[in-house]
Amino acid sequence: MSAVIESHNHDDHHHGPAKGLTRWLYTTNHKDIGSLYLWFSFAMFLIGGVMALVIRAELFQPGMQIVEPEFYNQMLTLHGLIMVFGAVMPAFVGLANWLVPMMVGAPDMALPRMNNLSFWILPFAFFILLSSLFMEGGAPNFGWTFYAPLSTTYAPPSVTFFIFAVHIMGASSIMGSINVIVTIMNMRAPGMTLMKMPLFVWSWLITAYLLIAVMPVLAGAVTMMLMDIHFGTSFFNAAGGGDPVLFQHIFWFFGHPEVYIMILPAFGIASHIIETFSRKQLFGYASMVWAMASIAILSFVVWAHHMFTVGLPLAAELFFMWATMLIAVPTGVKVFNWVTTMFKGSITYETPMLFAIAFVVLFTIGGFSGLMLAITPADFQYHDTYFVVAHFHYVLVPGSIFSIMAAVYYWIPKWTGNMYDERLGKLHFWLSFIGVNVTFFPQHFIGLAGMPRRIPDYALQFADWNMISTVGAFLFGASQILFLFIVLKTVMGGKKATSEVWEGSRGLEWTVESPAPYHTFTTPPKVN
Amino acid sequence: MAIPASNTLTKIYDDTEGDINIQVIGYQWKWQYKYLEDDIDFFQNLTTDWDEIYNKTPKGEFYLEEVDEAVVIPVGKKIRFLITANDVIHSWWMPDFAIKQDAIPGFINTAWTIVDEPGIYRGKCTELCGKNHGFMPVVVKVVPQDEYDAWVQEKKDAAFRMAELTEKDWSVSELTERGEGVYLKNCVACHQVNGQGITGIFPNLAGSDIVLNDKARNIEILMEGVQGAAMQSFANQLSEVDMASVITYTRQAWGNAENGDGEIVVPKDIVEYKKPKV
Repeated sequence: MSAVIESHNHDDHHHGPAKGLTRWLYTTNHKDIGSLYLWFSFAMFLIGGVMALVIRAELFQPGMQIVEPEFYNQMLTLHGLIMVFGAVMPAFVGLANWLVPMMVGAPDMALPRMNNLSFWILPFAFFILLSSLFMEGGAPNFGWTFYAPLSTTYAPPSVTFFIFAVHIMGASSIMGSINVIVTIMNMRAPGMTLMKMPLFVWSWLITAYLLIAVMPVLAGAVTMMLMDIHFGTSFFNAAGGGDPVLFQHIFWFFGHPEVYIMILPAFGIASHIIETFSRKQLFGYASMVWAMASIAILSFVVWAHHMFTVGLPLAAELFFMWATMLIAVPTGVKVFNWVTTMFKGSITYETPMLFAIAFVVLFTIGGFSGLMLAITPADFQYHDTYFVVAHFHYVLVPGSIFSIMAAVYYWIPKWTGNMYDERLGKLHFWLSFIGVNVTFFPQHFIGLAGMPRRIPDYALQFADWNMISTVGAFLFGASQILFLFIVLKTVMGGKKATSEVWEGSRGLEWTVESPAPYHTFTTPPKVN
Repeated sequence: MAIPASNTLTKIYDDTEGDINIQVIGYQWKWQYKYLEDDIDFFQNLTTDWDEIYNKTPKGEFYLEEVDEAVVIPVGKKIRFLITANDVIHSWWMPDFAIKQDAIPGFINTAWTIVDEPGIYRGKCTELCGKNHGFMPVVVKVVPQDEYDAWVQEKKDAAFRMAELTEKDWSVSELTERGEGVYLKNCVACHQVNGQGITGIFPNLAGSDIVLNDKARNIEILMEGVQGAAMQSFANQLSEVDMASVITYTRQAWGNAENGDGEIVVPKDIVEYKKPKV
């Protein structure tokens, strides 16, 4: 056994990062691939963000000013697809690549070549998706939920390219998940039992299983669309005996676990950061694990709460309402644990902690509006209005995206060896925090007042709050340029970071020096 | 929370017959209403002027919430709506009646209401249904019973007058004039004011070979729609008079009369087309 370890050490002396572009093209190093994922997702975040700003600019005032309704629909479709599949998911995969091997004390991901493949097919997927903007008939214009038959019989020709892009994204996600699962299951340091794993690792283990379970369902849905469009089948075409509602069942059977895929890793991140800056051990570790697992399991039996108005039978409506309400229980456990961890802690408010606290508070607001939406008779009014838009942006922007930003601030000293500029970090936080709330809080009001979602123009009574929402969106958008600047500045230089980086940090990644060497834990550490 | 919600939901799910039953059919981008007992049938289109939408003229009080013909129902009666769609999925939302039901091709969803207060109620389509999803409002006018009865009678008389118009001999200019109005109401969303459509999605009518030279196929497209494309059948939406006049208009406008055969279509052609073929 010791002979094997020695030969590994020996190898390391000869394998630093290669030089030039090929380093990134051929890399099988989990840290390089993690960085690629993170930079890619940031680029997509900016592209999707610009599309969001086109939408908000058009809605600044009633009337059509900047774009035509047709192009507006393309913007809202691509904004959704890019943010979900291009920004949030790859960012979490990037974090998993950087952190999971270091947290479990493994030298790299279990399947490094597949890791390279799963990243490098992504840029092609998004190149195909974005190129549809320049095709005859325009880009996909049927919303990121692409309900048939609007996305089949009535879709622009570019829908075929969209289907191909979704297939590639799905393949990438599945390969990424397999890698995470194999790494966690086989490569943990001796002594690290499942119930001793860091919570971020737990959250990703559960997320990876969700991805493997539902991405094939999405692939099935888009393949059926492909058959309907090109091969004369009628899966979703009522005129041929098909069923348009079937599409929604399949889509949301993928779609609801998908939204938890986008939030579970955030739970892991928030747990680490709150624990560190409260200088206390996390309250209720085991209950956190069980809460995440039960949220994941429940996510498979609530999909039809997205479809309360399609005319489901009463029994189905009642079942999905009750099941959805149940989710509030494990989510409540998590929020309770975070708050209790902070209670009587010696808290300091560095940037990651500010983002993490904002995550807890604003995610809870999104959770409460989710509970309101779960009540079926009330949902008949909220459904497909701006109230829903406000709800899911509250859980995705100050939820998922704040947690990703918190993670970047928290771990970037470990990645680069440099501390970020705390003053600028706090400025970025406050601008983002104000921007997010000014953008999305008013959308609750316009939704309750009766403004449907996905419309390019609106009746006059919604004008005031829309204007405020647009101002907030531009503030939030602009403050992300500051984020880019802060990250670049940290990569270039800055105050040197220690190995522990933070006073209260816990976990194996803080035992290696900063920046983390190209290869870490070639000899597995021992965990007690 | 679950208990009151479940009780309310059970009451909402009463799909027994109403005093008045109205079928609601969603189209891209308008609503059709069929009163099943009284054989009344009409379409509801947005009337807000495109100049208002494109900020060329000031916006009116009911901007994007006004239509050519409101659904009329009496107070105090149980109205049941049977909601479906003709092309893509729409959703019929009337906030004040607490009704939001998806209109899905191939399915009929039901919803009911009893309105106590006369007045004009406004709602919208709430399911993304294509380009003009934001421009298909719903307006319901609730009136006392006697006013409702008078309205029903008037609708029946109007249907009778329309039948007479079909028999009349029409001149080219009469047809073109009427046709332009029909075009601006029904066709302009896709094919645009200048007839040129949108490249790649909605075909150009100005200079199109079918519009120029193929009268039979021209009628067929409007009557049957085009399989696999956004073009729907207008056979049920337009009367024979309107159908003939709008086809004539497209064959006369934008220089089409000079470039093609210039043949016109009269209402009797449509009646002829509708006769069962052997």
